[in-house]
Amino acid sequence: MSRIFVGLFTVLCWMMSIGVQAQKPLRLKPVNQFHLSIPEPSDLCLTPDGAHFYVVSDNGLLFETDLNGAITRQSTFSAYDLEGCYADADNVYVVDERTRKVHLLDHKNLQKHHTYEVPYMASRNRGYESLCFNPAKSSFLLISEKDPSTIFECDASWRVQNETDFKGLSDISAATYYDGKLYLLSDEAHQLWEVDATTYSPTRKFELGIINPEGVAFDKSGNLYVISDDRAILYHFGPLPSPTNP
Amino acid sequence: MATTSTLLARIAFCCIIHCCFFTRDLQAQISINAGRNNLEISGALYPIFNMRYVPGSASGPVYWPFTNNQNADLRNNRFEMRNIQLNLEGRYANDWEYQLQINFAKIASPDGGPDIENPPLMESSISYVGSRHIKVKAGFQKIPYSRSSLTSYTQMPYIRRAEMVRGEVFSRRDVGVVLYNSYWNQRINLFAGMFTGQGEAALTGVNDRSGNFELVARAEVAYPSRYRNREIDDNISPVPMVVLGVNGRTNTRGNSFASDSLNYGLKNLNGTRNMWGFDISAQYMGWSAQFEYHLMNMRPTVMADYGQGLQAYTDNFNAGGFITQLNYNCQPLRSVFSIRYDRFNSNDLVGARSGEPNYNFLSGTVTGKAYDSRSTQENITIAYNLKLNGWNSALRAQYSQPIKVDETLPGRAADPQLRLGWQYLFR
Repeated sequence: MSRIFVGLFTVLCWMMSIGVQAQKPLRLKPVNQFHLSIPEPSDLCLTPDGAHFYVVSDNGLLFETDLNGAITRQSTFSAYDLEGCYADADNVYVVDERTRKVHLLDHKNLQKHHTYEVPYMASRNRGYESLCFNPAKSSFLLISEKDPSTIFECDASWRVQNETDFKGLSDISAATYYDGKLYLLSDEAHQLWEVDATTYSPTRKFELGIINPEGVAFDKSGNLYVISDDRAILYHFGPLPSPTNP
Repeated sequence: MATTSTLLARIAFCCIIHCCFFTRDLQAQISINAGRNNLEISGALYPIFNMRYVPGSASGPVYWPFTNNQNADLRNNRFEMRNIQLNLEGRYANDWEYQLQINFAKIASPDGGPDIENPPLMESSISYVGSRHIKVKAGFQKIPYSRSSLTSYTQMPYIRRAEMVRGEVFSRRDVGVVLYNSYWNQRINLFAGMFTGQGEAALTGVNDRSGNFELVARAEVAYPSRYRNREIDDNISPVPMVVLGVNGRTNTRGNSFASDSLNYGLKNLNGTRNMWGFDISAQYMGWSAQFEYHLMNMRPTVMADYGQGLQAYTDNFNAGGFITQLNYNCQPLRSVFSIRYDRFNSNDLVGARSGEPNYNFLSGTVTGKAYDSRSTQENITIAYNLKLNGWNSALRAQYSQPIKVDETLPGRAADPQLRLGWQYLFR
């Protein structure tokens, strides 16, 4: 009988260690870094012209910066805890994690003109942590951080059309779409996962090696940028290695 | 009997395996928004089993300190609810925060009074955070002193804190006001507070006969980024992180010695107590370590409370010690391993200072001036934590082995103790 329990224990340990052996992430190194004068920056996205970033903060503020992180504009609009942002030709979209509200702002004056409420009954800091648009599904994505990390697909009126629990990462702190793929960032694992934009199954994993990564974006040349919340630093990683020639 | 125990052990083992695979997504999380108000409801359940008696290591019954309660032999094994906790945290706009935290498990304790480490009321405070220059917190709250004391039990690998910081030597909570602020992206945190000085007993609403308040200050500096109050490197820090804290507190009380006699007689000293300490914590790649030091200088109004005849030698004495701890968070095994060593001297007049009177607390006599260490206690403790669903559902085990017991205090057991607990947080 005791041998059975020893065997069970061994199998248990082996199963828990499987996660480590599978698909080791590729380590990326930043080529440059820029200190931000923004308190607790929590996400960034590229402006439609590709010349600037929008950056949101845990303090509910929205900034526009150049690609080196220098502030060029600040919105007078303020919310409570902005955790995700996305911009298209029409609007800047920001999500407030505390109130579960998506605010739409005008590019010209950065003033809010619409608000949508997307209820989610979790604790204050377990709300929507990421926002982006997924062209593969013609949906806006809102993603809860953890416990569980759920990808909500929303229509243009921010009604939830579908939801998918994402397994594998301990948390999702930001998301962005680039070149046919969806990229999910994990604060706790310090990793960036490239996933299929339709099935959400992982295709590649990258180890970033920075503290508290909370925001991710690509510029028009394919350079990867990641924001560290705790350190208020914008890291520039350069383009991702080609899948066929890492 | 042995067969029954073995069967129970195997059932428990099967339950653990079941928990590992089938309880990962159990959650209950609620927050409510109403206009500018946001209210979050969370809580915790934390049953523990305490195996106190290890055969062959105890010579006789051990009773509750300073009492002769024959019904409370401290060698007996027990089940206990460490926490049955309800937590309400509210925010109004970006300016106001409030918190009410109640632990229903501690409404009564074995000695009839409030549990010192875990009082029934854990927090009842209001904060104004609307100014970027200074923030204010008022109410019943944790005193900003000692990193170990300030760290939530959910963020430490042990079920029970080290003796010096668990609330018997100095108070961990009190009613008062704290001014605080953060600088340099929260790498620097400063706190200054004024409290009743009565500690957890302040909830009775009266001050002692001196009418004085306790003053407390703390400063923390972290690098390269802000450092949260955690003993475990949960996020497997990719770069080394460190935080240094320095704190002090001063208090002059008029309580009688008897009012504090259920612990070391240091917490609400009749006289002046000055205290300072420092702590350092570091983490990197799943490893984390803490070191904490405290020194208390006591000037009792009645030195004879601490021993007849002592006043002939001096008007003050010191107490203090240190805690050091090493932890490893093994993510693949979802496990945390930890080892801790703590040393505490409750009175250096009967302790390790050569040339001072050698006071015998039990007999109340000064016996000489030889070196001894009878008032020093040392413990070594190891802990293992299995995260079933992060810290929201975790099995914890702690085994503590006294290396040396404080011989001047009756009722201090020299036996090793095993504690097993299941922490379940709904948040």
